[in-house]
Amino acid sequence: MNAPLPDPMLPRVFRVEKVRRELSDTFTLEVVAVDGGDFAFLPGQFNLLYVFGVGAIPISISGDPADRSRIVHTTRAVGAVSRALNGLTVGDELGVTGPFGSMWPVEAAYGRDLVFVAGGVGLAPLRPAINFAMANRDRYGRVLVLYGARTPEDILFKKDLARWRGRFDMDVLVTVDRATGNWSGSVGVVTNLVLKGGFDPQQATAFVCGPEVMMRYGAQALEKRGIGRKHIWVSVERNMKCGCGLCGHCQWGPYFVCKDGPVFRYDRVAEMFSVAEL
Amino acid sequence: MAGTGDLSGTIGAQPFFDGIDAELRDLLAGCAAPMDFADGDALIRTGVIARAFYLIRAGEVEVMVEPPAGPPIVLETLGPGDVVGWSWLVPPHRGAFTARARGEVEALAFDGACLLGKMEAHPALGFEMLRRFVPVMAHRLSAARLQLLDLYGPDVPRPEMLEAEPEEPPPAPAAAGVRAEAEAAKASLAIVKNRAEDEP
Ligand SMILES: Cc1cc2nc3c(=O)[nH]c(=O)nc-3n(C[C@H](O)[C@H](O)[C@H](O)COP(=O)(O)OP(=O)(O)OC[C@H]3O[C@@H](n4cnc5c(N)ncnc54)[C@H](O)[C@@H]3O)c2cc1C
Ligand code: FES
Repeated sequence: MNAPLPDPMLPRVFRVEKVRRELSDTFTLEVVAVDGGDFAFLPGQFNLLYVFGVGAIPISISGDPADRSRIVHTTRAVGAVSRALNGLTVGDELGVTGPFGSMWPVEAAYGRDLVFVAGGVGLAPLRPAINFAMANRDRYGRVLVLYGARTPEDILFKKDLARWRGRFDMDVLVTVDRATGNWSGSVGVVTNLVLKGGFDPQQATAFVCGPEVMMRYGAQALEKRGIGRKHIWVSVERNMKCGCGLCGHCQWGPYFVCKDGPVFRYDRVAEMFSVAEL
Repeated sequence: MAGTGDLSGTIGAQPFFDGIDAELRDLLAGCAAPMDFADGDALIRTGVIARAFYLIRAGEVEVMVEPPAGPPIVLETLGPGDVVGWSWLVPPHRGAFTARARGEVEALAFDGACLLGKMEAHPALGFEMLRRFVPVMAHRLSAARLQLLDLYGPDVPRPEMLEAEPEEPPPAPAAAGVRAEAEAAKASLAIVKNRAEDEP
C-alpha cells in the first residue's frame, strides 16, 4: 500500500538555527526541519510561517535554492505576526507550509541579459534568483543588480551586495534616497539606475521587487529604456490565509496572488497596478 | 587649449547630444569650454545667477538643497554623461539648487548667454536643445516626486489591512510548549481543509 502523501496544508515544524539582525526592523531566520528532511523551492516562492498561538503570514524564501538543508526568510517586523517572528530565538520552533506560488522565470531567461531591480526589503525575494543566476552565470548575458534603499542604514544584505559587486561578471549599483553619515555612493531613486542602462533592452529580462509604488515606477522606467512588458516580472503582495487558492483572501482582479503569483508577468497586471486599492 | 574642432568631436561623442547634426554641433562648440572642478567646488549655487550648464565627462556631482538650518541635503548624484543645470534657459537664470563636485570632476561648460543667442538665430538649434533638455527636466522633476513618495517604505495600507488595529503580539512561544500548539494548529487547519473540500 502507498504511504499517504503529506498534506500541504499541515505545517511542518522547523527549528530556528540562526537569527541575523539585518536592519533595525528587519531580521533573517534560518530554520531546519525538525523531522530532518530537506526542503526544495524555486526562486520567488514563499512559505506561510506559523508562530504558534499568534498566526501565520506569507514570507518569501530568501536563501539559496541550491541549499536544501535549511530555509532562509528575511522579514520586516510590521505587525502582530512578523513581530512575534522577530521574537523567536535559536532553538525556538515554528510551523511552515509551502513552498507556494510562482517563480521568477530564471531558466526561461537563459541567453538574455538579467536586470534585477529591488527596493527596500524587496531584495530578499530576489536573492534566490540572484544566487541562481550566479550559479549559472555562463548561461546569461550581462547581469545587473539595481538596488534602492531609503538611507544607507536601510541597505539590506550589505555583505552579499559587496560580494556580488566584487565579481567581474556582474554589475551592482546601489542608490539611496537620502544620504546620511559618510555615504559616498549614489543618491536618487532606483529608477535613475534603470535609466542609465548597461543592458541590451532587446535581449533583457527584468525582475522587479519592492513596494508596489516602486515596482510600478521601476517597470515604467524599464519600459522607457526599451524592455517590453513581456520581459518584465514583478512580485505582488496581498494579505493571505490559506496560501493555496482555497480561501479567496488574496484575490487581485482575476488572480489569486497565492497560486497565480506572487510573481506575475508585467503585461498581465500592468493595468491593475494603476487601480488604487485593488 | 582645445580648438572648436576638437570640442565639436567631444560634444558629438556625448550621449546627451546623440545624433545631433554636425552643423549644430559646431555652433555648440563655439559656446563650450572644458572645465575641471576640485572636490567641493560649486558648479551652481542656489539663488546665484547661473548662466552655464555642464556636461559631466568624468567624476560625480551632488545636487543639493541647503536648508536655512542644518546641513545640506543631497537630492541626487549625477555622473558621466549627465547634464547639470537648466537655470541658463529659464529667467531670471538663478540656480534652483546647489551642485557641487564630489571629488575631481571634468566637465564641458556651455555658456548660456552664448547659446541663447545662437538658439534665437538658429531655430533648429533651439529646437534640438529644448528637445534634449525637456526630458531631463521632466525626469528630475518626477524623480524628486518619487523621493517624496518614499518608494521603499511599507505600501500605503490597503483597506483590508486596516480592518482591525493590530494587537500587541503575545510573547513568542517558548520552545517547550510549542509542540502542543503545533498539534492544535494542525487540528484547526485540518478543519479548515475539510470545510474547503466540502464546498462545491
Ligand atoms: C507572497 C508574499 C511574500 C511576502 N514576502 C515577504 C518577505 O519576504 N518579507 C517581509 O518582510 N514581508 C513579506 N511579505 C509581507 C508580509 O506577509 C506582511 O508584512 C505580513 O503579512 C504582515 O503581517 P503582520 O501580522 O506582521 O502585520 P499585520 O498586523 O497584518 O499588519 C500590521 C501593519 O503592517 C502593515 N502591513 C501588513 N502587510 C504589509 C505588507 N505586505 N507590506 C507593508 N505593510 C504591511 C499593515 O498595513 C498594518 O499597518 C510578503 C507577503 C506576500 C503576500
Ligand atoms: S490565500 Fe487563500 S486563496 Fe490565496
